[in-house]
Amino acid sequence: MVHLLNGLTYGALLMVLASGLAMMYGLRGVMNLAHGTLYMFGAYLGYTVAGATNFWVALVTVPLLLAIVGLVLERIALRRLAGREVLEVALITLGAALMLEYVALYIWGAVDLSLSPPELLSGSSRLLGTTYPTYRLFVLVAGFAIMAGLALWLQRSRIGLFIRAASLDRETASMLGVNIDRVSLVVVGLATGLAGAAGILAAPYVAINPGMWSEILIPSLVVVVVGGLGSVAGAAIAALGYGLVQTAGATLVPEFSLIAPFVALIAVLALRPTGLAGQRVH
Amino acid sequence: MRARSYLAAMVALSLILVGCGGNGGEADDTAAEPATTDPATTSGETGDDAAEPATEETPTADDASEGATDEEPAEASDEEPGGESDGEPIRVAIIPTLTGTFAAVGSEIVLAAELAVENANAAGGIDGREVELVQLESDGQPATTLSLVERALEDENAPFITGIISSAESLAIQDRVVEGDGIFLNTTSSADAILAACNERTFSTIPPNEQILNTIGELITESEAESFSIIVPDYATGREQAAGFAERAEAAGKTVNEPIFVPLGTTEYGPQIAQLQDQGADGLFSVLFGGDAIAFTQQAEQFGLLEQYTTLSGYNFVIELTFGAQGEAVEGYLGNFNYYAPVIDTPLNDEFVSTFEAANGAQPTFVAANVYNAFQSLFAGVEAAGSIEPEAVAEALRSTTFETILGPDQGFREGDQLFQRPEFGGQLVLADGGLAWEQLVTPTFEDTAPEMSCG
Repeated sequence: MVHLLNGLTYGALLMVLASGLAMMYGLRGVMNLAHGTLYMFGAYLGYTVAGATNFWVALVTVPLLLAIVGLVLERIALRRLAGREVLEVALITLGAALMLEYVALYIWGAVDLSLSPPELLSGSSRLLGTTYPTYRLFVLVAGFAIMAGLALWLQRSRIGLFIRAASLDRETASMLGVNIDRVSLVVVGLATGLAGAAGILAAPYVAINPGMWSEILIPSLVVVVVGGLGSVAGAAIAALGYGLVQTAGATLVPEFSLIAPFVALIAVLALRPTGLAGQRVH
Repeated sequence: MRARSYLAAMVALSLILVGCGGNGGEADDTAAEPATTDPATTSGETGDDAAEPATEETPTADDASEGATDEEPAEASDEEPGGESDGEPIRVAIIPTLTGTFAAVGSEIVLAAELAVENANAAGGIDGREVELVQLESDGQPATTLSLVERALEDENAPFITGIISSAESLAIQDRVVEGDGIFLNTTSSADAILAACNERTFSTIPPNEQILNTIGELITESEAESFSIIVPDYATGREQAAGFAERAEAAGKTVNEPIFVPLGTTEYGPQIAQLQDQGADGLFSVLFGGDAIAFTQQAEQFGLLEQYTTLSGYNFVIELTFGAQGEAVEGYLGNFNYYAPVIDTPLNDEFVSTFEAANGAQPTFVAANVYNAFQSLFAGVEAAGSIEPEAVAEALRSTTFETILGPDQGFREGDQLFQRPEFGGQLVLADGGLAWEQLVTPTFEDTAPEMSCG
């Protein structure tokens, strides 16, 4: 039971982070390798805001701050990168990530930081006969709640319809009157906000340091690729799968845990080259 | 099919990133390295204003050698700066990593090196020479560091190399420093293999693994725990440290469980924490380092794991750089420390601590102290040799004693060039709202240092 919860908790964290990455790729065709740095800034800003106020204020304000960053990012950078070769864009965003790491170093210094969970979420709770850290249960619930909200919004709202249409076929959606730039602004703001949410959720769970983006980037990429490039639902399922595979691997065959997700990546791509979500038109 | 090409590109990128992430497959105790993606190489620059070249003309390594061939190694010189020396600057290259998990260690290296150079120049230089700092930045990969060492030796005319962090890097560059007629001052890498190489141009101011483990062994003998679990990063040095601890704990009559190995840079420690709970030991020995140690501490505390242990111990699991982040959760921790400013009572250490605090607003850590100690040793070697010719300086360093922040009559053991100093053992206590070391044991160098294997 504990192992299952561990896998789902880590998966939930990845789900929140990778869904934004998948959305951004789906709509803009931009594989943003700087997405992990937004998660890093989410953790750092969470540390700063929680220090000045409290964790709950940070949990609300940090995603909003990162969403604003996303809006600016879309207007000044991503819009201009749309349409370029995916590898070219990936390398540009990787360069941006490396530069942003230095920005974090300059602002917060090189020494690792940590953030304690709020009093309400410290300690352990009983769940199905198991004692489990309350904060982890919160991450699990928050992750699923965010994803449920996102799914509902994409399925039920008018802009959600536009996003789905544009993600499936940008050109046709555009010809049918969908303003891709406007939709994209919303998507990028949401995606960076989700990265911020993942950062503040992870802050009481990991060490906050300028290099933390690179530790989460590879799992996020694996999740997006396995899920099917651009698919939010695929990324969500792949994230949970990643969490379960890695924690199961670490428990059952520790030597295998590091490569387990990559074996899964290869297996999925071999059997289903377009990922779990299937064929996309782009 | 375009979608397939995207996928192929992403897989390739993932693999590239994975490749960038390691640390040459081998990290050291002081700076166990999780996966990071750092800039391949960025070149640094000379240090601060105080370290500006004394002359506009940059001397070559050959010039320096020729100018010093007739000079004899000597006792530490009392000669006033500007006396008989040729005035050529002492150029020292530091090659730390400033991002990723190495960032905090690298930053301390830079601060200490800058301070050592500034203090030396403010005092009129060393043997009549200005000291110049050449700062290069590595990404922690041995190949990168090796190329930067070559650059320091061949292009920067900096024969004195220091501030290299991981053991993998240090092992990779040792021979090249000899070939390039330089001196390597090892301040941060503690793999036993560095000493075992018996490299005549490598001088280590950091104690090696074996000496540190011997100190930890003394602490463990007196500890309350009867059985130990071990958690270590999964790389060669980590495995050696696990085996070394197990050997000493068993010799002290403790039961030792099967070690748990964790990949570097792990984010989720839930599975390992569950395993540790299942093992049910009353003592824990951890070799996790830096960000890994902090993440593990946070998660172990949330799981209530730490309450299980009467003895929490480790090898650099808690260091001054992580006191703030690990906090009260590790109060009572038994471990080693190379240096802790409040326990070193020497005039030069007082001066070092006060100038470091004035410059940086914080107490120097063991990283800064080892670097500063290396610079003081180098300066003493230059003064004793009356030359900056590396062979003369190396000979002087092997054969003379000098005063450093650790006290008078300090020096290197001839053969493996290990600085003859103790490793401290202590317990973390809460003081003034933060953690502080309370020294418990100070084994002598003779009692704990590895036997010299060099002929």
